[in-house]
Amino acid sequence: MIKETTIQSLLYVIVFAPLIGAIINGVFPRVLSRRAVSIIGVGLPAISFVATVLALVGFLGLRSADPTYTAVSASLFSWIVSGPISVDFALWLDPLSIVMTLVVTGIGSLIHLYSVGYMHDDPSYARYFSHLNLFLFSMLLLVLGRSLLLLFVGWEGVGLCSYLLIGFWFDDMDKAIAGKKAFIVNRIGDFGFLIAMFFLIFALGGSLDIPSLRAMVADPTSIFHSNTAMVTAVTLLLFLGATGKSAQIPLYIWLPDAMAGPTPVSALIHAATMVTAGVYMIARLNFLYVLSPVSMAVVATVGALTAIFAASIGLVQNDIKKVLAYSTVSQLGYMVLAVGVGAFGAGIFHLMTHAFFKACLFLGAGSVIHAMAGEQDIQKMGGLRKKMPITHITFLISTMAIAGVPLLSGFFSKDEILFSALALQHSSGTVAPWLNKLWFGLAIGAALMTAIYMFRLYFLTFSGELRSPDAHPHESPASMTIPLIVLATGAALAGYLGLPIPGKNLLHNWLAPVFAGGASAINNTGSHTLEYALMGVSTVVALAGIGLAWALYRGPWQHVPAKLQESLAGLYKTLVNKYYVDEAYNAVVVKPLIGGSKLLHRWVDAGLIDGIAVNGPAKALAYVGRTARRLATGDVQTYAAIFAIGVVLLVLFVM
Amino acid sequence: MSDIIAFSPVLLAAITGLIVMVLDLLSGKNTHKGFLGWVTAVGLLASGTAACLLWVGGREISLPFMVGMVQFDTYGAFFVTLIAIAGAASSLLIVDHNPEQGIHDGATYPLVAFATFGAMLFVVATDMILLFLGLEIMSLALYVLAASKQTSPFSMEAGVKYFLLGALASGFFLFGAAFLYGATGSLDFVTVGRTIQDAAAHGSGLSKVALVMIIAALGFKIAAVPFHFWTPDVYEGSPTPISAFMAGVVKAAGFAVLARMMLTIWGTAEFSSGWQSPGGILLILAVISMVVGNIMGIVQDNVKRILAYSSISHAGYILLGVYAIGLGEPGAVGISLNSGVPFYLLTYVLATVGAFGVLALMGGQGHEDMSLDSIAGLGKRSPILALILTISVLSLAGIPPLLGFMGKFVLFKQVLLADPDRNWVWVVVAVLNSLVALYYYLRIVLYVYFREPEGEAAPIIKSNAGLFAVSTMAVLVLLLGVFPGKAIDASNQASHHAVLSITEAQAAPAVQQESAPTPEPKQPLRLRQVDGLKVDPSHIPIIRRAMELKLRDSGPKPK
Amino acid sequence: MGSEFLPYVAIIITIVVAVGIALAILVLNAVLGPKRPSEAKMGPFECGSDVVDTPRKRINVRFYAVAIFFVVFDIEALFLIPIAVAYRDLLQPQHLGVFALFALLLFIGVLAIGLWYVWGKGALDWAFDALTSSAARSDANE
Repeated sequence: MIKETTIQSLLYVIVFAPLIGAIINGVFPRVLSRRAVSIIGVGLPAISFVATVLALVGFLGLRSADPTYTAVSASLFSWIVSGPISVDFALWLDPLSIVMTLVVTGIGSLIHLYSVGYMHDDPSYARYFSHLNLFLFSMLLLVLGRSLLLLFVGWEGVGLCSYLLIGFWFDDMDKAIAGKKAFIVNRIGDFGFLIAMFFLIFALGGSLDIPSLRAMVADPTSIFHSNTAMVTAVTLLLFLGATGKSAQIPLYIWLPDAMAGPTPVSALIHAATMVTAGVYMIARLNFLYVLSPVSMAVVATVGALTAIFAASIGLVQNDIKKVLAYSTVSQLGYMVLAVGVGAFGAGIFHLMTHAFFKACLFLGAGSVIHAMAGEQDIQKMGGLRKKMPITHITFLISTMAIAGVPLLSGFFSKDEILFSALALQHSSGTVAPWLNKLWFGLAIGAALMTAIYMFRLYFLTFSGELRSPDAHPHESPASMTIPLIVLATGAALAGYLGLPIPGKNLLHNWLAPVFAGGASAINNTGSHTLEYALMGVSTVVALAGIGLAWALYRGPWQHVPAKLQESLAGLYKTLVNKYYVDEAYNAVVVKPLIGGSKLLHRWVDAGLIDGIAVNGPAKALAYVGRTARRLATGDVQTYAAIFAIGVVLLVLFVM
Repeated sequence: MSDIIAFSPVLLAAITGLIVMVLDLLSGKNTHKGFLGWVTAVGLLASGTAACLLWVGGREISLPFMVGMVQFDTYGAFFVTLIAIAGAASSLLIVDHNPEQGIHDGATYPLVAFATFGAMLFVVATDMILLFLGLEIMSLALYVLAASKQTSPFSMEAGVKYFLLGALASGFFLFGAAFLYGATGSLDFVTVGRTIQDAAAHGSGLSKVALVMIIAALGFKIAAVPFHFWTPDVYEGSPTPISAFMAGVVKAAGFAVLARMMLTIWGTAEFSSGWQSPGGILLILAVISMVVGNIMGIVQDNVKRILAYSSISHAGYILLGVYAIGLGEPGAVGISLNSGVPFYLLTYVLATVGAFGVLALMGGQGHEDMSLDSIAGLGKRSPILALILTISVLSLAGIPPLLGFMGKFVLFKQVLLADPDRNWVWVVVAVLNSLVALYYYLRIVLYVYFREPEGEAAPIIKSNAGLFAVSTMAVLVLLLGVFPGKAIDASNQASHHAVLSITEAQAAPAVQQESAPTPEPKQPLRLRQVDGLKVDPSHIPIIRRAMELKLRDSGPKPK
Repeated sequence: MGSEFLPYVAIIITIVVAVGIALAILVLNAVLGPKRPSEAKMGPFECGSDVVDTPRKRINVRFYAVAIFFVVFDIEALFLIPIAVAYRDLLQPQHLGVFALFALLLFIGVLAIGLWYVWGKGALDWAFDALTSSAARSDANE
């Protein structure tokens, strides 16, 4: 039996172990040997994971003793006390944060382990692990922080670390720019988050402490229920933050570029940590979101659109990591759709299964890139099945999972989302009745595309013959394959935590207390028959997609893609160029901004402010100073005389 | 015994000096004297710790000859602690600095300890004789310390200059004290203050001349314009750890005494009304100190001189705080010290000792020149020292999240709150000045990180003691900058005791009881009770006689 | 003449007597003493240094050191005399009691440590070995 105080101590261990690793590796990069760096860099996240498991065991014990037990809370110190704001530096562990922490530390540790093999030739080995640990620390602060402000600290922290890690090889200008892009785009979202917090405090009188906020919202007479417009504003602004972190339209553009970082970093960003932050935040604030049907509808629509939009781009990409990147954006669309329709449990469920198979896919891709000596173009790969058996098997399992092949994890979680999109309705009436059908349609379309592009990727990479004669692929070392095997196992089996059997859905039961506030506002209009029928539909869709991919890239229709490219050249070009979104942003936002800034710089800053307001007084002051300097002759008699004259003048002045 | 406990922080510093003296003698002529620095530091820190332990409540002083002469309360404890920290840091800096500079004599350490002891005595004294004693113990030790590098003409020059001008300042102080004695017949602040505020002496010429004289003398110690001329020359010429000591300890002590004396003796409600009021003079000095310090700082090329002018401008900010007396607790009688002042001094001392400390660690192989050029490229040669210097300098500039920012924020806020209608002008002036100051602070950072030395680069001393001292300062600056709560609380408590209570209303209960039924002839001369200071009843006649000299017509007439 | 001036009468008498004795000695000396003047005798009295010399000449620093030490211990004596006079009273319990003894010993003790230090540092040696040898050592280091 683990006591509550022990769990509180464990919480600190969970959060601060990676920070200690980051500090040690960050401060003594030259002192430590590579071996020491690896032990510290991998060991401390592992400690964090073990502590999480212990905390889970303890939590289960507490919950079995008292079924109403909801959360362990540990307050380190009172952080900010100022007027209406009072924020503790407090961590808490409730069912939702346990799931998130397990995912973050578990998969995070595996990725750290994988990095030992992947990065072992890099000159900045210690810096890499330091940043990676810091990333983990920030993410843990995000999921374990009890107040929105602490969550925001972690939120900013992962933003910073993503910048550091995406631009890890900053010698390469493109990579440095990719890092910058990720940071700036995220900042736009963060801005929304900040404004939302201000509104929450000053317009709604809310608390930043999440449990207190939940208690406030639970009161039906509170301002949260009367001032729906403000609640809508707050939730939408928070969602703006989520679109930045979780790569939704319109702020998804940074994520594909984030491939510039080392592949394990991509895996960490895409699977276990950063991008799930937005989904986590919405699920965490479910009680707030359900107060605004409009916000919910916006969230769901953005999610559905992102899912199909990104999937369509993924169809034509040739860079192995780019395909996976758009697949991530698309899958995140699913999660956001889920939390948008009120299926918070389903969103977290998909988040978890996705963490497994996407981490496995990325690490597998890393293994492939490693084996192909840095080659990332799938047109130049092929036939790796025999050369890299372990990577192949694990990659196949994960591909099947993400495509929604029955009985693998992705099947269960995606199916639940499809069902929720069609069946769940807000109790106050939906904003527009046809929205459910739209969401469902978009989602099922995205599911088909997912199956196609994922198996296109698989077939082009692993089957057939190797299309680049110079390459000598080989299987990766054990430190890379072990995480693959573990993750593939997870990708196959994680779905059984959320079987769609009423009352037996372990994950839903576990998370029920967290979503109690939100679930009460959502009506399920579908039946189980519908759910099982939809399972059949999605199985058909998945298999159809796989079959199509086989036919187009392995089977009888191999000439078709080329023909399609010619006959639909316009569409193809649009897709390859990602709908020209980057270009549009460049033209509409970036260029005018830079142009305006240059004008401001030249005329206002350099001319007016620097020239007249800053340099003018500075020059004048420097002139006065140079003149006055002559008084400081170094002559004691002069000093004494000035001293005495000063006294005399003052005496005359006061008399 | 309770007297010894109450006085223990100050005594510990003195004992440290004696012990270090003896150890210096016993250790022989040819040993490395570095360990004495550690002993000094430990002793001074013990003294600081004792001061912290005594924090809760004032201690009673019962020895007859000490009554009214010292006051050990939160104010004293705050500054004694601060002085102890700065003194300990300086002595640690000396450990490896002196041998590199060719100073092998162990006499430096006892002198540092005695200077610290003098500063502490200076701070806790409430009687002008004892105050002067503390002032001179501190100053005499420092004259010698400034000249302690006997092979350097600059050091000699600094010592002589400091001595000549310091003697002048001491002379002014004695003049001021004598005039006050002439005006009131007493030497302890409380009696002097009471007399001046009660009677016609308030507007008398003697009191005003004394005011100016004392401001001039203490203005010399805190380096306020126009009593500041020695500062750049002496800071530049003295061995750098000694400059750190002067910039840290002497300034903190000087301000502690200045604030307490000004507000206790002249602290009426009209303290800062009009230009000719005591506060008005401080305001004038504050503004010209800020402006002169910052403008002169801009044109300097030597880091030590830049820091010297920076310390002059900081004196200006703090003087502004002394000018703007605090609002006091709601319902409290009388005035109190602006609580931003002790806090600002804390921020200033930590940062300035850190900055000078880094410079001290750059004085290897007898190197004396601390021009901007010679510190160029420090960022590459010693990233850690560069970082500490940057933190210290940016804290002095008041960049968040460092301590200096909180210091300026709290101080300026309090100044503004004291009289929002008028003081906003001075706050604006001060903020503009801090902007100007940014120029020379950032210039240091620029040279440290972005310039290569053109001439000879200052050699870095490998010193565990010194590194320990400066990194402690930097860590404190960072840590307290982020979590300033406790330090601000302490400063608030300290500021509440800055002004010694001189009101008659709080007479000792025993005396009051007597007076209630039948007023006796001598009764009007009731003794006020000072916070935490009880008067031994057997000495009342003595004190009363002293008061009678000047107080015959102040109270109700005896029957 | 008010009675408040009475205490000053004694002072005036003291002054008169002191001046008178000094004058008397000088006068008697001038009248009675034998006179055999020489150059050295005619010069003003100054300890150790030539009377007529270049003003730029440095005076040996030992003079100052000794003078400073002298002042310190002179003042010690100066303080001890009043304490000695009042000592019996101070020992009374209603005054300071035994503390007076401790205070006195403390005062002497501190000065004794000072004397020991000065002595140990060689500052009392007329030849100033300590100073010259430390200077020699720093020369050797350079």
